[in-house]
Amino acid sequence: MTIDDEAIERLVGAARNGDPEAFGALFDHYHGPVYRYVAARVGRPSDAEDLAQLVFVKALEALPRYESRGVPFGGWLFRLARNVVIDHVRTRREHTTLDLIVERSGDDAGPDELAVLRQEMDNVATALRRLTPEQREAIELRFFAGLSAREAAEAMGRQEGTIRGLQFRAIAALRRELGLASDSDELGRASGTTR
Amino acid sequence: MQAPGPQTSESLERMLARYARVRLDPSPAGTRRARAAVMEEARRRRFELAGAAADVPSVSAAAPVLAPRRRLPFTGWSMRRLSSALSAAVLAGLLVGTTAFATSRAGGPLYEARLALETLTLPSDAAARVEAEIAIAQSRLAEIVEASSRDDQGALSASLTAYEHAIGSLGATTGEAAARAMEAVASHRAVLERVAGKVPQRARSGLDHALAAGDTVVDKLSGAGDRKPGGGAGNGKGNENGVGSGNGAGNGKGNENGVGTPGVTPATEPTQKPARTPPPKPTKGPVDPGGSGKATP
Repeated sequence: MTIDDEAIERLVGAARNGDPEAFGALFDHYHGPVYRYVAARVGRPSDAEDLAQLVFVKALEALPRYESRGVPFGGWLFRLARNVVIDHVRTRREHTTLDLIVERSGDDAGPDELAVLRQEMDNVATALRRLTPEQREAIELRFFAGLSAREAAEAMGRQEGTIRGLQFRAIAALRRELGLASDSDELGRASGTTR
Repeated sequence: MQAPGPQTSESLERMLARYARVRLDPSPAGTRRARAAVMEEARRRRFELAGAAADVPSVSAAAPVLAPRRRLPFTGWSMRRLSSALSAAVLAGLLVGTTAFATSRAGGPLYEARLALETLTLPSDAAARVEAEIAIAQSRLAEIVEASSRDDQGALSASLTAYEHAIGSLGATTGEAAARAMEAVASHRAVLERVAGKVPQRARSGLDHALAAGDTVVDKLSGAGDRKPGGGAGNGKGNENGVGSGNGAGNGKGNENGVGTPGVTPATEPTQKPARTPPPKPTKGPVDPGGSGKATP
């Protein structure tokens, strides 16, 4: 579902006034991105499901205190998500890695394709693990959750330029790790105009 | 939220997108579960907001007392003018009376007729029917909150009876929908307890009865569905808050950190279950206060 910023602000306003259906629409829009971000951080799908749900329950609690003031709602919500994940990681007893995540491949994929896909997924997981924590989080927020640089900056409590720098270095590191051909033009673009 | 832009090669972007889809996307069932729980919580909060708003003194009560009028009303009116005004008032009363059917309050003369009408419009599809019955139970819960805030004992009694009927219908749910019904009924407990803490002593017994009826239904549903609230369903992750443990009634996925919160606040400690009372008695009036409308307190 794609809704513009104005529609999101309207939904947020209605949800603040206690309209459950408006909050349901916000849930529909943001649950996938929040889940992907949380799943990338905590690894285990059952934990990700619980935590993503908890993010929205906390959002319900905190919504009356939310004031737009130029802060995008997505950034505010992902800041909540980030805090929920941090609390979880601090208190959990066992450590899990991205490798434990359940894979959902296409139904029509054959054994060979599945093996190739699995290898690729493992390579990406390994490459992600070799990033610094901040670089990895920038990638998770920008690519997995689909946030804008501004929203990611709000979520991480950093400047927008810092996020772009983290993303730039993370991409360069991922390309090295994954053996993707370096393209000087693209790298040049990477440091240029982005949203 | 937008695409990350041209900072990365297409091959890397595709690879990351594939990784997100294959390893990070939520399952449809998990999304449905989370949505149901979150919506339940949103509705519960709305009930609480409605209750809190009702606690605020009304504008008329807080308004300054106006100085008494010196002239008596209608003293300057002729008999003809008075009779015209009376006729208009009678007509207006009739009009209001006909529209009252749709909005008849709990305990009113048309309340039971409205409940019967709701029953007749229940959908035939099993899943949709459970959702409609949950919405009906929530409507009754909203009426309980409203009646208690007005201190209207008649309305409170009628809405409590109707509520017990509504959750009684939900108690017959089986299969996967039983877990959903159980979550809904379990989440009502916090609202009922809040109301019970505010009403006069004479109204307590009805609320205690409704709470006990809710416990009975939750017990029944926990045996009917595939999952048990907070029980962990054999995966070793369930918390210790079992059925009827207040806010801890969950969707069977609660973990040791108390993060499994299916529509209710996370319970970290088991709470005392209230003493059992007999299950609700069948009452006169409509057999099933059903309907297809959503709860709109």
